[in-house]
Amino acid sequence: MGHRPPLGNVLVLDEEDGLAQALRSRGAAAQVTRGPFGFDQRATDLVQEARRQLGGIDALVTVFPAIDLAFLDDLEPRAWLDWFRRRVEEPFCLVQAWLRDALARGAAGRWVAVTSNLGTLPFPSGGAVGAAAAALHTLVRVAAVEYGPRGIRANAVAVGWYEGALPPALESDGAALAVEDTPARRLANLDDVAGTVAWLLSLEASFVNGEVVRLDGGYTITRSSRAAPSQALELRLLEERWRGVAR
Amino acid sequence: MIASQSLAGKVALVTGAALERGIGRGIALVLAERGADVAINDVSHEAQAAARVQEIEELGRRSLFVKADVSDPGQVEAMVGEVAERLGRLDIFVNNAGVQTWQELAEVTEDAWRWITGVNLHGAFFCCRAAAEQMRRQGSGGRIVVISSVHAVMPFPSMGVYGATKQAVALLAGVMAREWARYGITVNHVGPGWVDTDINRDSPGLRTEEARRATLATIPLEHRPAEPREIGEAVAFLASDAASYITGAYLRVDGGLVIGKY
Repeated sequence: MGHRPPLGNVLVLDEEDGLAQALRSRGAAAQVTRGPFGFDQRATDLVQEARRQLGGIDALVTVFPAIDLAFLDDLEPRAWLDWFRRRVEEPFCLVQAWLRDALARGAAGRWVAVTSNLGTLPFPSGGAVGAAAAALHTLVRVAAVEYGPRGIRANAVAVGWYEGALPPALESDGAALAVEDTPARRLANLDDVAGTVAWLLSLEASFVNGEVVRLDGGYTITRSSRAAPSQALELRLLEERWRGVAR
Repeated sequence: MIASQSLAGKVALVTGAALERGIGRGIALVLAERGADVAINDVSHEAQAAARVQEIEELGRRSLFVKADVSDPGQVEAMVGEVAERLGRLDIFVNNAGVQTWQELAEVTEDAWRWITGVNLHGAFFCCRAAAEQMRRQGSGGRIVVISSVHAVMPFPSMGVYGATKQAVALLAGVMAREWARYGITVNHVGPGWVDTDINRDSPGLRTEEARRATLATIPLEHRPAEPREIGEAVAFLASDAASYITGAYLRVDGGLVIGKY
C-alpha cells in the first residue's frame, strides 16, 4: 500500500488535466482517465488497473465536459442522446464499476461529481445540459443514501459560468453579462473547483453526504432573493433566438 | 363543471395510457369527461387499449389508439402526425409514459438503464418536442403536462435511475416552459406519490402487508394511495383555461407524502 497522500488516491474522469493537477497540489495522488465508457468490461478493467497502480482508490471525481447550449427546438434527438451519453451514462458506468470494486473489498470511498449549476436552474438553451446535471445530482443523492452505511460518501459540485470555457453562444458579450448577474462579480475558475472538490474529499467533510454544492458565486440563488438579478444573459439569449422569428 | 375548466373542442394525446390500472387511464378519462377528444398511446397492450378507446367513445368523444415506442424519435413524430391528421389538431399533450425497476446503483443493468432513461427521459424530450412543434404550426398555443414524480425531489434507495430521470424531466419542464412561452405553450409537471397502479406492483415498499402498512403510514392524507383519477384532475386543471397563467410549475399530487422531505 505504502504512504497515502492526505486527500488519498483519486481517479479523475476528465477531458482535461487541470483539475487533477490542482488536486495533486492540494495533497491528492490523482490519476486522470478518459472515456468512452459503457456497460462493458472496460470500466471494470480500468478501475482494477488504477487500483493496482495507485495502491487503492479512495475517491472518484467525475467531471462534466465543457458546457454547450442549444434551444430545444434546435436540438436533434441524436444530439440529445449523445450529450446524455457523455454527461451521464459514461460517468455512471465508471462510478458503477468503482462502486462494485469498493463494495466487494469492503472499502470506503468518496464520489464527487463536478456538474453544472444549470442542473438546478431552468436556463433557456440549457435544457440538455441541465437535464444531464439534474440526473447526476439524483444519482449522487441516491448513492449517498444507498452506500452511506457502507462508508461511501457522494456529493456534487454544480459549477456556474466558467472562466475561459464559456459556450460559443456566449462568446461575444456573454462573459460580461454573466458577471453582471453574478453577485461575486466574476466567473468560476479552476481554483474554485479544485478547492471545493478537495474539501469534499477531505476528512473535514466526512459528515457531508448527498449534497449538491452550488459553486456559482451566487448566480442561481439570486432567483430566490428579493434583489432580483437583471437576467441580462438569459434575456439576451432569448432575444437572439427569436430575432426575425414571427410570433 | 366550471366553464373555465371545460376542455370542449380540444384534442389531447396521453402517452402510456392503455393499462386498466394505470395513471394514463385516469388522465384520459378525466380529460374526456371535461370535453376533450383523447388519443391514447402505448408501446403494447393493444387489447387493453381497445377498451380505453371504447370508454372514451362512450363518453361521446372521439378517440384513437396510436401504438408507438416513445423512446424512438421516428415513432414519436409519426404518432403526433397521426393524431393531428385523424383528430384534426393537438391542443393538449400529456407525457405520462413511465417505467421503473428497483435496483441499487451498483446492480443496475444496461437493459434497465436503457429502458428507464429511454422511456422516462429521452421519451419525454422527443414527445414534448414533437408536440410543441405541432402546436407551434397550429399557431394557437397549447398545453403540455409532464407526469414527473415525487422522486423528482425525493432521492429514494433502489430507485436511483428512475429518480434521476424524474429530476431531469422536472428541470427540462422548466426549460421548455421558458423556451416555448413564445409559442403560447404552457409546460407544467405533476408529481404523483404512490398511486394504486400496476407499476408499483413490485415495489419493495409494498411487497408485504407489513411494508404496505408502513408505507401508508407515511402518507398524511387518509393514509391511502392516490386513485389514478386524482392525477387526472390535476392534469385537466393544468390543461384548462383556469390555468392560463401557470407555466413551469410543479404540482405534487401525493397526499402530502413529501411534505418536509428533501
